[in-house]
Amino acid sequence: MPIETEPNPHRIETGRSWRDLPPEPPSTAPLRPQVTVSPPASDATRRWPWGRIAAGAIALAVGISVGVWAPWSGAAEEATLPLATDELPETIVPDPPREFEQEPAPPDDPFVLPPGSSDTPQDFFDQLPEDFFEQIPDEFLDQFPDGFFDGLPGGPVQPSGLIELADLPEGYQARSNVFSESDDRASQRIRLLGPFGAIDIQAIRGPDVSLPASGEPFDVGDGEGRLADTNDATTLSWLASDGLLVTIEAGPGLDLDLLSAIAEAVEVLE
Amino acid sequence: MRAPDPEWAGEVLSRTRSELARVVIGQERMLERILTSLLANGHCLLEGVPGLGKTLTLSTLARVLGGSFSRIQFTPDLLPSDIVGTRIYRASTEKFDIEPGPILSNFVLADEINRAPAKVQAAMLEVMAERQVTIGDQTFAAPKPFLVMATQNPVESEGVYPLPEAQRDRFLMRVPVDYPTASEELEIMRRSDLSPETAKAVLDPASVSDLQRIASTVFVDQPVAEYALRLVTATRSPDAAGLTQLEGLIEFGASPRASLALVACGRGLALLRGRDFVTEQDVYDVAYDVLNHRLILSFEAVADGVGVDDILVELLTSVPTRR
Repeated sequence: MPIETEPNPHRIETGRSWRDLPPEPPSTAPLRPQVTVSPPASDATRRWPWGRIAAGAIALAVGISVGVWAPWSGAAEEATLPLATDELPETIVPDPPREFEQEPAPPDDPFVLPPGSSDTPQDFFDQLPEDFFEQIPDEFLDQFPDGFFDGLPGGPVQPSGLIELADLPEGYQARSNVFSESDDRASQRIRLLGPFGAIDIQAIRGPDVSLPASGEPFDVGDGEGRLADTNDATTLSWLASDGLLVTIEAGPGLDLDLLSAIAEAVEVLE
Repeated sequence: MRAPDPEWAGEVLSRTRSELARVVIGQERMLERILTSLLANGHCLLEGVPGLGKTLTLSTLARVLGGSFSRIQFTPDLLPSDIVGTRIYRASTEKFDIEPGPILSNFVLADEINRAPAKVQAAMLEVMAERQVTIGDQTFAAPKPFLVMATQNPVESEGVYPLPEAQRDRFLMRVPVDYPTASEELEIMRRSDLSPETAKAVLDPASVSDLQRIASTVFVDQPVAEYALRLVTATRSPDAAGLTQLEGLIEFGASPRASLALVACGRGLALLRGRDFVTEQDVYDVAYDVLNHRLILSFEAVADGVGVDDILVELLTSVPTRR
């Protein structure tokens, strides 16, 4: 007699090895549907569908009364009479005018529900097996361009920010970009790496930001900033727009031309 | 002591790799991981079926790196004193002398480590962790650099003593060794007819220590460190990391030692690839080797036939490099 076993509750593929690892890590979380597992009926709180029960009871009562009354009234006999094809009764609704007819959807339209399916798209998706989306091979999803799923529920969200860097000086590249935002305050920190080490660019937007009082005046684009070159660090701050303070922090003694070039590369995002 | 010079490091490591490749055909992944382990100053466990060139690789590496080299063949009748050393009575001087064991070498090849009983494994793994040996009333520090490379045959079950989980954790990486490709095997066969190649010493112990020092200064940016941390914490609570499919499969996840190992190996691999900063790709590339011997699966996973590789493939393909 075969032993009855429960299906494997874990949804991961088995029999894989390190050779199955792709050459590159995923840069964003893979798109996975949120599968909601309903508790079994025995564990779930039992709710009686009173609306359906009432409707069923009324339908039953009407059916019984019609069945009892019909044989004597002759209504049943009348209902079984075949309709003449050339004499349409007045109760039949005529065809709608052609201008209200909808063009039939193409058969391969993914948004057309197949015949006999449920009423709403949600019902349709509910009828799919739980692991339907997980069975979609990654190779298929990889065919979509980057950002295709952005904005969808559960999909990655495009990072926003306060500033971006247009043309960086030669040898420099942005190594990290962290943006955080609260109710009335936002900040962004970009780290550059290049021949003269790490350079941090910090942008802060808020109601209370202001240019630091200390430091020497330094021309930045159309405005004026504050430059402080101490034994510990070189710092250049300026107001890139109303309420947006940008600060470049680098090691001591950074070349001022390089500092200007990085400041000019900063562009404010609207 | 040499000042940190990534260019010198890159040039020396490139020569080391090419010298190794003269003797060891193929197995580039294994060679890369062993050198990474060396740069990260950690011990390495190679696992693969017999005949894949593990012992040849490690003995060649010891020759290329210079320094002292010991090979210990682990057998069921091996004693701890055979490894760490012992006190012997000298009749000529009527005194006890200390005879240090083969473990006190720069490069130690522990061949078939799972063939020795637990007390021998424990004695050796203690030396690996403490980097010192106490015999009688004297303590001897392990030489620098000190690297233990062990091999293990995963398929045999008769006459082997599998390493306990806590002792496996002492290894920085467990590297699986694969079969060579067809073309590589053909080249191996062709060379077997000729006189075997011998490697030349490229480095000396002091240079290896310098390389390790340079590797420890390789820059690790905050997002890269956070990626490594996310990988490790996902083994502890996969549900919190969004990996509900792994829930209930891991009994014990990786310890903070794994986080440190990921970063250290990432640094080593970055230097080996000629960079002075670590990328997420470096961390990803070493993650399997760093984590695969540190996970303890649950009974449910074992019963369902889910292996460590299944879990790590799922984890590494699900945890994104950017949050």
